[in-house]
Amino acid sequence: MNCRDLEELLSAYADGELSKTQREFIEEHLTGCADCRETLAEFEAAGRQLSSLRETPVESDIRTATLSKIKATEALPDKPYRRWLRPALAITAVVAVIAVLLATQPWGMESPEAMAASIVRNSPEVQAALNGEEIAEIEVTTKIVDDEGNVLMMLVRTEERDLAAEVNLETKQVTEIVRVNIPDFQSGDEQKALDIAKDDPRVQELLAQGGVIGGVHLGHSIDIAQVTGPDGVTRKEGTVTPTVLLSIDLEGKEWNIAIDPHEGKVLSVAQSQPSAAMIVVHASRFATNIVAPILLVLGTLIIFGLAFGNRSAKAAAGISSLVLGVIGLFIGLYAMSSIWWRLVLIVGIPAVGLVIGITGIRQRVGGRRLAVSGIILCALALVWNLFHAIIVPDGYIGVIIGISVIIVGIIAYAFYDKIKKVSLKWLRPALGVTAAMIVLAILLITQPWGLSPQSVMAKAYAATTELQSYRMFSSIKSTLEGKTSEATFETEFVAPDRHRGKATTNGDWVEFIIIGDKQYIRDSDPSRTTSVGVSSSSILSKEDALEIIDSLTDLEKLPDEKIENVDCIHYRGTVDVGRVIEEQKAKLNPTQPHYEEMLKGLEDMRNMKTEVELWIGKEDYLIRQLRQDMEVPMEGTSRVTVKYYDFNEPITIEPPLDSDGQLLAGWELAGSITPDSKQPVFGRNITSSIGAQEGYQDWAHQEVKYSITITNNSIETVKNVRLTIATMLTDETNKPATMEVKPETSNDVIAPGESRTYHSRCPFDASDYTKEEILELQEVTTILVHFTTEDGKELTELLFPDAPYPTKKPPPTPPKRQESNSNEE
Amino acid sequence: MEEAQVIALVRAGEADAFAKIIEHYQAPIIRYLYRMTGDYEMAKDLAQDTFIQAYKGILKTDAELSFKAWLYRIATNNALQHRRRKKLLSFIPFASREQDISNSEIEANCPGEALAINEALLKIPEEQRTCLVLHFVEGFKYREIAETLGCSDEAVRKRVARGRKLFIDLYNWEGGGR
Repeated sequence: MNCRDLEELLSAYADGELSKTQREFIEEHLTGCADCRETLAEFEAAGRQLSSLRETPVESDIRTATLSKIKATEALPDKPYRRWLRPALAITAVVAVIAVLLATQPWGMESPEAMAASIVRNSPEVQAALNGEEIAEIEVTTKIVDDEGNVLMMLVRTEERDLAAEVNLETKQVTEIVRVNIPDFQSGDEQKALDIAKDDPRVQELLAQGGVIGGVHLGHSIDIAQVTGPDGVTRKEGTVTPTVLLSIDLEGKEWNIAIDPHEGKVLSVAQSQPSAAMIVVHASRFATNIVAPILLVLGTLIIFGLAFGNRSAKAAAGISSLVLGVIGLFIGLYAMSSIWWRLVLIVGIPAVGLVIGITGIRQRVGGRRLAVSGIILCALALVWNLFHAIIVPDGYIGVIIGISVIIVGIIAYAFYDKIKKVSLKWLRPALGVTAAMIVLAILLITQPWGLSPQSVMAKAYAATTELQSYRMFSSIKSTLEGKTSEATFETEFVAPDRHRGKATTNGDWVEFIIIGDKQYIRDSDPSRTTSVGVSSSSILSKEDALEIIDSLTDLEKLPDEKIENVDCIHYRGTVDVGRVIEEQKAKLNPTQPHYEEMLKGLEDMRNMKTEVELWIGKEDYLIRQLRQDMEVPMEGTSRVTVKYYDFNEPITIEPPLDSDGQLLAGWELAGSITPDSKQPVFGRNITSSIGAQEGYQDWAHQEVKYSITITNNSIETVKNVRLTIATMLTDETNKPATMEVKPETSNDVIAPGESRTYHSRCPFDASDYTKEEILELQEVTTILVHFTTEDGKELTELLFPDAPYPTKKPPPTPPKRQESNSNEE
Repeated sequence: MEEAQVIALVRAGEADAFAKIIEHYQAPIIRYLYRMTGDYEMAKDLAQDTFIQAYKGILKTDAELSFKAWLYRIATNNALQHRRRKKLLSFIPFASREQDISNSEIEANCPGEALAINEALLKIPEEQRTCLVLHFVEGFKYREIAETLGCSDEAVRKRVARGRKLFIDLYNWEGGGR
């Protein structure tokens, strides 16, 4: 037997742990084996050495500490609520974290443009320069000041004045403010710019390489220069150049070409690069996208760790304190913004870190250094973030105070053991109540449970009403009595009163431009006598959309959706048809033509079903999309989908005029007077009655009495207005008579919208006529209006006949004073 | 008072009676945990935890083991858990191993040989170290160790032998007995 195999037995022998047989065997072997004797000696020495450790002095007495801990834990079963208190707290906290994240969506970051706009809006310098005027528009200009794109030049417009403001996105400061005059674009600038660009060799090269013109839009370029005035004072002066920006896509890269259409030159050709600020935004968006779920996981882990008191969970809490501190600093650095919930977030994260760090220390978990590092880091993040919070001009002092109170409360709670010794019984309940109140207040302010559909609608209403410009595109698909038709409609709107639109149905189109009360129309079929008005054509414009919102019932919230990459709240509702009908009825005027018909038409709508889906932007509450599904039983269905976009983008709407102020080909100004106009200049109301002349009762002395009211429906003032009546009913048989009609006043000028009434008597001898003949003769009466336009053209318009004549029968037995009236418009 | 009587009292709701048990066992348990962890403050904390767990255990279960073996089993588990956590934390830069001031103070009062013995001991793998400490320091018989650790007597014998050999090597290699 090899001696090595005996080592185990030798060891046990040294320890006196062998059975009698084994002991005897070893003892026998030892007598004959010196090696083993040596090993045994070694073993025994090692045993003695190890046993010497018994002498370690242990002076600590852990009785009291241990017993008090035992009692503390033992107290728990006596109070059953404590058993579920921690898990309940944990669940509440997790739910709160999720709710806050959902409500705040920290991952939704601003674009540099929006960031710059908000800096400009909140800048005290800009406010001072504006003298309290309200900002009407903020535009990002094409002028990029530095290489990184961190400095943007913005145009600030109010009713009174225009400013150029240079914004540094890094320092979040407005670095320069100069008053400027903004020249207007002229119609056709875009086309001109395109032509200029196509003549440029650089652009030609891009296009030759397969570049595709992606878009044309209008912007402004600003140059700021030092100018010494005649008074010897040097000041800065800004020059604004209207610039047309052309983007060309070439192999996935975008080239920007800036063109000055007035000077007729290409200002710059550059490949667009994401600006440094953009990269930061993207980075932070990316980071927050990642960070948010991490936070959630960390928070959950920590809270459950605290709730269930597992040692390793507590250690995780210490580490998380550290991580949260880092995240807090990161967010503090990159995601500072004036929106206060973000503030809560950037303060909240380090605050949570603080709590965890302190708890870590209290629980003696994961090493003090870890927890202390966490606390320091979190405190640093907190101070940094608070510092930025305080310099936010809108002032969130309330929030900051609230958060500070929470932090103090947390620290107090963390060191509760120490405080307890000197403090009173009510401290804990008081702290608890305070904490509860703060939580309640925060919940009330943030409303993480989301907004009610009504308040979202109200916000949408407000946001939409304030829009300065937008574009919309609607498509209408309808099936009426088995026939399907499709139409599209696109419009642009610029506040306060500019519209441009094009409606297309089956290849036919009508274009219109409305500027104030001027309506320009162009029709694909020039011979058609269409009339396009705002109300009839702007299908589901902003106003209509608002009206629809107003009439919705049974609002139901559907899962959020993205429309053109914008997160939208999605609702579905039905139109309260009954209410709409009543409202429309109230709007009808009983004196207007076809009143009865329209009333009946409205009543027919009662069994119509209209379902509306709405997509409202989560951040700005602007309506992004609207879909209306209508179903009229037995008749048909229609679906209208409207997309709204380019909100508050610079949109230019100019009248379709050339440089001489003449209408461009195909365009017509609604209401203007032209010799070949399809639209009548005058509205008319003609009444006539046939009866005996005054003082007579015989057939020879009859007369037709006319009362003619005309209204100038054009937009021009007309002069020299004369009315003539040519009638066959004369005193002399078969001899037509033309007579002039006298107005009520001698004024022969009628301004747009004004009316004038004319009266006339046409005496005639009815002796030779039967009453049928009289009627026939009266039907060939012609009433004309002669007038002179503003630019001196003499024109004539036919007032009668243009519509069916008398509806009532003539007098059955002349020559009594019996009357026949006709009423036409 | 007999241990069994004390335990009966504790079970009856006399928490203060447990003080007797702590009084009796605290020194060996702290010592044991110190030898296992090499960190005196930690040993005290772990000892507290051990007694708290033991207290709860007494209330909950009728332990089949002898109280002593059971108490040491809890202490052993706590020591092993601490070790695992420490390993975990050593991956994190801030969690530097707590070089314990308190320990050096204790060892300062000890002869140099004790220091060398302790250092060698701490390098022995846990399984074997547990057996060595229980046998030599705490004076456990092999059978008692087996009961505490829930293994066979043979396993204990093997571990003690191996641990002892390793100790001799480590001690000599460290230049023990300087």
